[in-house]
Amino acid sequence: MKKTYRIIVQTLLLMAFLLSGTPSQAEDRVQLRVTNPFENKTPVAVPAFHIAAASDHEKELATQAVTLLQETLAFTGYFRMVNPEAFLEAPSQTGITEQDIHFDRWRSSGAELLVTGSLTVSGQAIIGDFYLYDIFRQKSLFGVRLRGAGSPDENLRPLILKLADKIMVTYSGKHGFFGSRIAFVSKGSSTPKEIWTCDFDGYKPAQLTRNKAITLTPAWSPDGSKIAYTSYVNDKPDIFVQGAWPGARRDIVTAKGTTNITPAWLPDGQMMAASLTIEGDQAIYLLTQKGKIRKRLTRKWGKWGIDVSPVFSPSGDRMAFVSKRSGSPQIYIKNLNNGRIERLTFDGKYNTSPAWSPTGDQMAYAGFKDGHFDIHVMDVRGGRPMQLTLGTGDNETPSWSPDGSLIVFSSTRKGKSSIYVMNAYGTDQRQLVSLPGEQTAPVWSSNLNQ
Amino acid sequence: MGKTWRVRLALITVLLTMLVAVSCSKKAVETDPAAGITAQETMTEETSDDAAATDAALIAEEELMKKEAAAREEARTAFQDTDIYFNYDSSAVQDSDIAILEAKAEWLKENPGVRITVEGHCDDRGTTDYNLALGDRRAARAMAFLESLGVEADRMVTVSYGEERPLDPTASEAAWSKNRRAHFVIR
Amino acid sequence: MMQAFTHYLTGGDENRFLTLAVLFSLTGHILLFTLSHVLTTSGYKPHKTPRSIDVDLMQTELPPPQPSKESVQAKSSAKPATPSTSAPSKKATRKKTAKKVTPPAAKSFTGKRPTKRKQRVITPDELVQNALQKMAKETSKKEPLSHRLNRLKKEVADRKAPETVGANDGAATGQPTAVQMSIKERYYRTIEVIIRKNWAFPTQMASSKTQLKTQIIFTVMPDGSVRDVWVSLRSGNANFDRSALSAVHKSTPLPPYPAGITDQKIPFVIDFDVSELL
Repeated sequence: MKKTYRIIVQTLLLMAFLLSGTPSQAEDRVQLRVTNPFENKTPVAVPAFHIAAASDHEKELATQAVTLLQETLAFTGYFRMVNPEAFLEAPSQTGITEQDIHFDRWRSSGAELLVTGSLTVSGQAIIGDFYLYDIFRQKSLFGVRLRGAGSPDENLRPLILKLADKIMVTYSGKHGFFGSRIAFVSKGSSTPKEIWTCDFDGYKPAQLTRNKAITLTPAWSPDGSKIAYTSYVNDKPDIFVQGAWPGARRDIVTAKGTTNITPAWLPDGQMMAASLTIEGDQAIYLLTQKGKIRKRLTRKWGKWGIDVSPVFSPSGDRMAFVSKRSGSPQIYIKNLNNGRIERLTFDGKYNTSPAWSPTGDQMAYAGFKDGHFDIHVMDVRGGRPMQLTLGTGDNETPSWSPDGSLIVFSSTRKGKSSIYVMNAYGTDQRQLVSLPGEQTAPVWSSNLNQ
Repeated sequence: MGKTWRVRLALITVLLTMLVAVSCSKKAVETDPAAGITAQETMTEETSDDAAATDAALIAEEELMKKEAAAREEARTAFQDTDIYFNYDSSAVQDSDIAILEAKAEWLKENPGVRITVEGHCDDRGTTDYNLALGDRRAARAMAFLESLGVEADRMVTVSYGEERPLDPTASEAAWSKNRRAHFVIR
Repeated sequence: MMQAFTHYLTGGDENRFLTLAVLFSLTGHILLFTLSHVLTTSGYKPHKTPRSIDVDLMQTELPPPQPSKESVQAKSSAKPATPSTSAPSKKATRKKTAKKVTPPAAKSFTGKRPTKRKQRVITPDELVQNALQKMAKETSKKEPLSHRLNRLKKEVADRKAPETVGANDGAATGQPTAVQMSIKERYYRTIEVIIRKNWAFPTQMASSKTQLKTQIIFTVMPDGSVRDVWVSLRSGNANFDRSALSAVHKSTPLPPYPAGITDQKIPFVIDFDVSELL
C-alpha cells in the first residue's frame, strides 16, 4: 500500500517535471523535416529456419519454407528481403528466441525486422515456431506456434501463408491477401477460351471451366465460392454461375436476349447485375442468380445504346459501368440511392473495365491513349487520373487485391497477352503466370479462408 | 447423301436405256417409212416419239436445273461470303454497304424458306466486354436494315462474337477494318 | 494487436514503476503536444530565420548511404577534408557500446555497419551540396508519382552496387553554392539527409485520406552519439512511427560536430511526413 502510494507520488512528480520541462525543451530544439521516405520498402531479414530431426527431405522442407516466406513477403510490395550475406548470426544454430538474438549484430544487416523460425516434422504433422523482431527496438513483436496436420509437403504452404498473414497483421494492422485467388481467361492454340484459377501469387494454375465454347468475363462471388461468367455454350453469349472448384456444376442464369454479358455480384452475394439485350438495347439489369429480372438499372437512352461492365462499390450503394451514351465508351457512376448518374472519365476517347478499389475511394480502369491501352487509377469523386502502366503493349482489365495494395491486369508487353501484377501505385510490375497460349481478364477474389 | 446418289444413278440408267430404245426405233421407222404399220407398231412408234420428246425436254430441263442450281449456289455463296464493314467504334451501316444489303434482302425474298444468322464482329482494339456489346449492335443494325427492306424478322437472328473471331488477327489498319464486320450465315 | 504495440512501444515489463511512469509520461506528452498544436496551430515555429528547409531527396541523386557512413568514420578520425578510400578496420566494426537501456528511450547507438568493399569517402558536406544543387535544378520539374517511385526504386537498387570512384566529383566540386549556410545549418542539413536516407517506409501503406506525420525527438552529443530518442507525436499508424524511429536509430552515430560548434549538446525535433500521394 505504502509502495503503491510512493509510486503514484513519484509518477505525479515525474509528470509535473515533464509538463514543466517539455515546452521550453521543445522550443530550443532544432527543427528538421523529412518528407517522403528514401526507400519505399521495409527491409526484412529472413534467415534459415531451424529444423529439429533433419532428414534430407526435412531439410529441403525448411529451405522451401524460408524461400516461400521470403517470396510471399516480397510479393506484398511492402518488404525488401535483405541479402543473407549481410547476416552475422545464424538463428537456426544459435537459437530463435529473444534471448538468443544479438540485435546489435542484426543492426548491421540493414534490416529493420527479423523473422526467425523452427520447424518440427513428426509423421503426418508439421509444427512451426516463429518470431518477429523489431531489430532497432530490440523487441519481439510476436511469437507464434503454427500447426499443420496432414502431409508436411501439402501443409507447408498453408502454414507459411498463415505466418505471412500474422506478420502482415502485426506490421500493418490489416490482413494480407494470402487466402485469395485469381481467376482469368486462358486460350490454348486449338482450344477456345476457358476460365482458369490460381493462387494470389500465380501458384498452381488450373483450368476451371470445360465448356468447349468461348468463355469470358469471370466474376467472383463476394465470398469467393462461385464464379459468374459469359459463355457461348448455347452458341450465343449467356451468363452462367459455377462453383469455384474444378468439376462444379454449371447453371445458366440468362437465356432471353441475344447478348447477355458481363455479370457482376452485389456485395451481399445474392443479387447480380449484368448487361442484357432483352429490350433491344444493351442495358444493365438487376437479376437473381436464377435469372429473374428484378429491375432495369440503366435507362434507355437510344435504340443502339450500350451499357456494359457493371461493378459495385464495396458498400453496394453505387454502381460504376461503361456507357456509349456520350458517343464513346466512358465510365459512369450511378448512385443507387437517388438514381443519379455521373460521368467519371473525361480523359481520352475510350475508357473501360472499371474496377472499384476495396477501400471504396479509387477506380482503376483501362484507358486508350496514343495507340495503347493503359491502366489508370482515379478518385471515384473525380479528378485527375494517374497512369500506372506506361505504353508498353496493351494493359487492360485491372482488378484489386482484397486489401487494395496490388492490382492484377493483362498485358501484351511481351507480345502475347499474359497476367501481370503491380503495386497500386504502379511500381513493381511483374508477370504472374507463365502458361502456353494467351491469358486475359484476371479478377482477384476476396480472402477465401479467413 | 447416299440416297440422292442412288436416285441419280437410277435416273441416269433409265435415261440411257431410253436413248438406246429411241435410236433403234428411229432406224426401224426409216427402213419402213410407208404405211402398213400395225396399230401396235404405231402405238409403239407413237410411244417412242413421245418418249423421245419427253427425254429431250428432260435433258434440257436437267441442264437448266443444273445451271439454275449453280446460279442458286452462286447466289447463296455470294450471300454468305459478302460481309459489310463498320467504322471504328461504330455500328452504323455505311452508304457503300447499302447495295449489298439490298441484294441480300432481294435474295432472301426469293428464297423464303431460308433463315439466317447475322454475326457481329469487332477488331481487337477495345475491351472484350464492350466489343461484345458493339458486335451485338452491329448485327442488330444490319438485321434491322434487312427488316426495313421487307425481310421478315422471324427469319433472322443475331449473335455477337465481339473480338473473339477475327478474320485477320494481325495488328494493322487493314486487318482491323476487315475484322469490323457483319457476317451472314444461312442456317 | 494494439496491445502488442502498446507493450512494445512502452518498453516492456522490466519494472512496474517505469512502465507506469512511461505510460504517464507518454499520455502527458501526447496531451501536451496535442494542446500545443491546437494552440499554436502549426506546432513548433522557428524563432528567427526559418531553420527548416525541406530537402526532397526523392528528386535528388545522392551518393550511396554506405559512403556517408564511411565519412562519419573518416570525420571522427579527424580528417574531414581529405577524401580517401579506406576500408573500415575490423576493430571499428566490432566496437559496440550498446549501453543497457534506461527507459523511456535513453539509448545510445554507436554501432557501425561493416563494409567489405572499398568505397569512396564522401563528406557530409559534399552530400548536402549535391542534394542542394540537384534540388535547385529540379524544383521546377514535376513528374508523375509513378515515375518517381520507379526512379526511387532504381536508386535504391543502384545503392547496392559499388560506387565508382569519382563519379560525383563533377557535381560535388567547382560549382558555386546556391544557398549559403552557416556551419550549424550545414550540420543540421547533413543530419536531415542522413536520416532521410535511412528512412524506409512503403508509401502505398499510407492511406490517401489521412496525412501521416510523426515527430521524433532526440539529442545529438558532440561526438555524434544520439540520446533520448522518443516519439513525441504519433501518426496513428504504428508502422509509420516505427519506421521513423528506425530511421533515427539506423543513422546513429551521426557525424561529430564540425569545428565551430561549441554546444554541449544539440536537441532536435524532426518531422516525418508523406506527401504527394493520390
